[in-house]
Amino acid sequence: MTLKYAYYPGCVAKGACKELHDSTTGIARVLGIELVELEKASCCGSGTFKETDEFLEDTVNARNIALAEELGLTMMTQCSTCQGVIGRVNDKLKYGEQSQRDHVNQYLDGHHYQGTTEVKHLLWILVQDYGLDALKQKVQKSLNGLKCGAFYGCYLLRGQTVTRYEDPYHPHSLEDVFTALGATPIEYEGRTQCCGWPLASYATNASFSMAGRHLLAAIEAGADCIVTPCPLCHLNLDSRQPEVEKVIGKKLGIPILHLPQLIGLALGLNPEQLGLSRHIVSTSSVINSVLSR
Amino acid sequence: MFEHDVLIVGGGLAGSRAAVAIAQNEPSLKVGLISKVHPIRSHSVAAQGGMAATLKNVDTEDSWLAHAFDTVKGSDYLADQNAVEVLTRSAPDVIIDLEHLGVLFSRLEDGRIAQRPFGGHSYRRTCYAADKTGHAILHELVSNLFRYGTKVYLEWYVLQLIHEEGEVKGVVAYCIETGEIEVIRAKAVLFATGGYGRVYNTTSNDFASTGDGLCLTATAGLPLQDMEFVQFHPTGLYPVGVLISEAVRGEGAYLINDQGERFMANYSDSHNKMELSPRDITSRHIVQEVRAGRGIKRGPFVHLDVRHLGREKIISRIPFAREEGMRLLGIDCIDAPLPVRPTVHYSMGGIPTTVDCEVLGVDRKPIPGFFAAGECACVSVHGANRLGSNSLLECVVFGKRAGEKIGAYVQDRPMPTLEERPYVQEAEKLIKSLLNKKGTARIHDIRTALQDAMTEHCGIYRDKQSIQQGLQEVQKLKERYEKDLNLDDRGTIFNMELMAALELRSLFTVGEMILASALQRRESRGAHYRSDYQQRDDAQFLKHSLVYLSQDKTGIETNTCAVDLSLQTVDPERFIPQERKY
Amino acid sequence: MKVSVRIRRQASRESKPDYQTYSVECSEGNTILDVLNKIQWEQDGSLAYRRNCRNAICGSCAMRVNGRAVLTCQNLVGEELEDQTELLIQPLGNLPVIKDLVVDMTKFWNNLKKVDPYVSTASRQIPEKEFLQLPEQREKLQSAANCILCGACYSECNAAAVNDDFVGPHALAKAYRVMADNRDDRTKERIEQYNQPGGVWDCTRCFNCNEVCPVGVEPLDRISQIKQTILQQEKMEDSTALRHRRTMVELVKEDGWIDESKFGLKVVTDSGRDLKGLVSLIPLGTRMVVKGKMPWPWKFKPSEGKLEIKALINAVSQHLKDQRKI
Repeated sequence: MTLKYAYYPGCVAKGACKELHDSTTGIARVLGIELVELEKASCCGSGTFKETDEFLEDTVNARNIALAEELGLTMMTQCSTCQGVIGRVNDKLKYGEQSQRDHVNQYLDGHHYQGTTEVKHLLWILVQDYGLDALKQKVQKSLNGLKCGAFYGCYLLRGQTVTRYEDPYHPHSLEDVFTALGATPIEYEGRTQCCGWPLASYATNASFSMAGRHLLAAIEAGADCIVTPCPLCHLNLDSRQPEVEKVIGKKLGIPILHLPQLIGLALGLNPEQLGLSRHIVSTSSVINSVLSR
Repeated sequence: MFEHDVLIVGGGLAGSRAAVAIAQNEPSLKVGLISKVHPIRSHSVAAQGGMAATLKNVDTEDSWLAHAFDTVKGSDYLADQNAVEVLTRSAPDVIIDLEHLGVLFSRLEDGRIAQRPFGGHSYRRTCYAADKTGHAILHELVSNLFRYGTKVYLEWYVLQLIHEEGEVKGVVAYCIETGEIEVIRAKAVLFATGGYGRVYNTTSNDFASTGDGLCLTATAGLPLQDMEFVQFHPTGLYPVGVLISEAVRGEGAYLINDQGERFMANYSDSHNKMELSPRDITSRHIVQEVRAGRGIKRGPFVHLDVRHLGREKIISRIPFAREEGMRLLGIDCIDAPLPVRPTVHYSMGGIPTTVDCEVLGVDRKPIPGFFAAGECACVSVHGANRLGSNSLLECVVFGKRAGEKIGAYVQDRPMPTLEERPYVQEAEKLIKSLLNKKGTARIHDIRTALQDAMTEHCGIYRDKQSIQQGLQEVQKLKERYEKDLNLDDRGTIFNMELMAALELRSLFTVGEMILASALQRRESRGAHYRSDYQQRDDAQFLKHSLVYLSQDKTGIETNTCAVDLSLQTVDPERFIPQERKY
Repeated sequence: MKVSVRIRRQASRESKPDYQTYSVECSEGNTILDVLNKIQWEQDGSLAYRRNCRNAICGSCAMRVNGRAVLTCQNLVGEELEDQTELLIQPLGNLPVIKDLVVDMTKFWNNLKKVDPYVSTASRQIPEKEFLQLPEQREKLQSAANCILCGACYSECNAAAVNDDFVGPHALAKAYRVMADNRDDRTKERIEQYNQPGGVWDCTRCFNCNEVCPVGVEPLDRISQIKQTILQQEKMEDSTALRHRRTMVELVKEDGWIDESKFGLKVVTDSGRDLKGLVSLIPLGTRMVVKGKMPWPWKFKPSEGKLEIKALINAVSQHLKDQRKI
């Protein structure tokens, strides 16, 4: 099968979490998914544009969506936050009044939002479009019991209210992916809650307390690693883990993987391709446990 | 022992309004407000339809006198006309005052407060906040309780009214969370304890509406007035009994029987006003339809239909009614009619007071230190039947008035002295005896039996036989309660069963008072319908009924007192009692 | 049908909690409150919980069902058991337990008081009749006015869970309701007040409040509206939070994508002026460099559409400015 998507990379996947872009494009190649990168797109605002003005968030993202519509493709996101923000705007405009769309289109110079496409996270694409059975077939290195704790990200579960892929308090698609790859899903309290990223630049105590609670809960539930579909969550859980440890007064040392990195390992891609050295908390325990089989 | 200048029992519209009035007018007074639920949870919050007042924003020919007349006629001429005058004259100012406090009334296009038609009102004078008016008002009042820092005894239950040496000196109170018992003395006690819907098995009232204030008053040997007048609201959602507001009929809903007829047209006293006939009339006709086998599919309910109003009107004017249907029955009234039947909704009777909210004793003289306002009081402004949107008005008018009167009253009154130990000991004894009950009967079973008995023997239709049977059954259930009650929870930390057992005592007392009162009124008037005395008899019964425990507390005595007819001098033509036709 | 109901019990404030399972005969159309009542009335009178109106208006009966706060008189057995095999009932989160499902809401009420939740008209000339409030002005307040102070939002608030000073979504929703009321005369003070620590910027935007509110208040959206008002003020004292929001727009206007190192320097260090901020970034910066994660400015690629994006943001900003002047 050939699946083709308009690829919205987001800011962080090209910068501080470049390993995300590398692993996404890596697994897309192996799975036979064609990605057309939206090079003219812009940052979605990560939910803050709405606080300046809702119309700003709507127009900036209507433009992003229009870029995908022009290609006649579904927009793929790889960030819970981008998914929640852009998806929400798409729902609002697609299912709203014509006058709203007209007003937005007045400011889209050279582009036109039509409401003809969907905004879909890589996770949903794999589960729904690609299919877990098909994914299973492509597994080269079964993850054999690697205990993975999912960390979903608020915007993925609760950012959209119209288009919903699963129950925000009892989701299971990440766990289903883990199982398909031969890993063992570990459920723990906090997997659907907030990592604290939105507060990280000015309310560090609160931000790192949040991250700390959830990481601790995952460790106590027996997780070997955390797997997240959001690079912003990744930043708080991985690159700030030393600060998190200080705030909660406990050592953590649990590696945080991006979803496509976990999939990539199972598909047989090597750790270098997946950028697994580009983490603050070492991922070698995960790599060893997978590769040593 | 705690002490306050003023102690208010009950934090609903009347109680909160009184507290705010005192805080505004006499800020140096030490006020305490005691409530068995957080004030914001009081049943006032559930009031939907609106509050009547002659603002003349829509019908400019309206007047306080017209409002008074509608109220008196609606009361089947039993309301005290001097009290009705106070009610309707004060109404416009009281509404404006609420609006200035920030209440979110619905508005006309030009920004003035909107007013809509309502059953029994001859002009469009009901002010509203969509269909959640009680909620809108109570939230602003409670925000102001916070603002003024009123001391609230949160989740405390009053066990006894301290009435000694001919005056009221305070209360004995029980802390629901910890089981502590305290005597609270005060220069003035205001009861604003609400109604007693839970005496019946189908009611719009919340679980807390158990008539505690009435029971406390009766137990102190004081009289209750007009207890036989129990308002059955015609449109309680079937089967739960929650209220579908009269506002729905105000917006144009139809009542339909099994044959698809708007059956209100078939009765002479509702042929004109149709669905906007007063509540007692409408409830009786629904019951008549059901008895005649014309309930929907021969069931015990009829249909309330708003489909013809259209989606937009329903969503903007009566969204809460729609939500109720969807939540409780999965029915969207935009597409299908709602099943309704009468539900106990309001208590016209209660603690007799003057127009200044002073409670009247057996001798009809005010009892020093004791006040009452709101639904628990009987001023009487509603007589034998209350018009919709007059209760929210009564609560705020008399709550404010009580606050003002009490604020002045306590200026020169010394703090009463009393010996607290005997009261505390008696209360401890009571609690202990309840906690030790080791019988076989669950509270729920006894309570349900009582509610069923009241509904069957003293419902919309009563007669001598049914009432006497009712009295016997209540007596039997009381014995069962004393001898056979069982409590699972013997602790004193937030013991819900203990609360239920205490409230059940109130239900028994109120039930008996209703029955005794209904027995002696041998006529039909307003909400009290005697199948064996179907006519109104002004010659014998244009009087208020009074009931009270006999001196030795073993029996119930009844008496009567005169109705104030002072508006007759202002407008003899209308205010002299006539046949009540609409 | 027979339903298994697992309830968290706790005899008193100091007691250790425990779980007890009941089996209840009920139907799919029953509410969770109906189930609790059945248990309390028929099986175990010692079970404690709050309830009053059973009509979704008094707010007494909020508690956690299957992992998140609901109004038990509103949610149905059938819905709750769609994906779960039993009903799990626990007290509201973020508040101390008094007994079983009854929580101490003192913090909840105190936080509400902190925002001065009453309409203030002290400085206005009080008209003889009502203040005028046009239907459109009133409509703005409808969502916030729906609030029944049930505590569901506070129970699930991720920020309140870690920060005792955060007033909470219920308080901020009420704050919006009074601030946006045309009759209230304390707008300026409220803007200052809600901008302080404990106010709007302590919200972590987790969407839980929006998700669990049983009556459509959407507290997160109300918080956004307060923030909009704050950000529109010209003379607001600078803070990291305000800088964060402004910088987001500026950088996207400039480059299309966010240059993360520019972002960190501008927001956290105030372009080098905030020494404390600068110092706080050193450990982070160092480890990012060591692990090869550092988003060096020279590695940053702006969007190919950056000119279009700049034009768009400029045009929209101007439009919004013009709108506000009206």
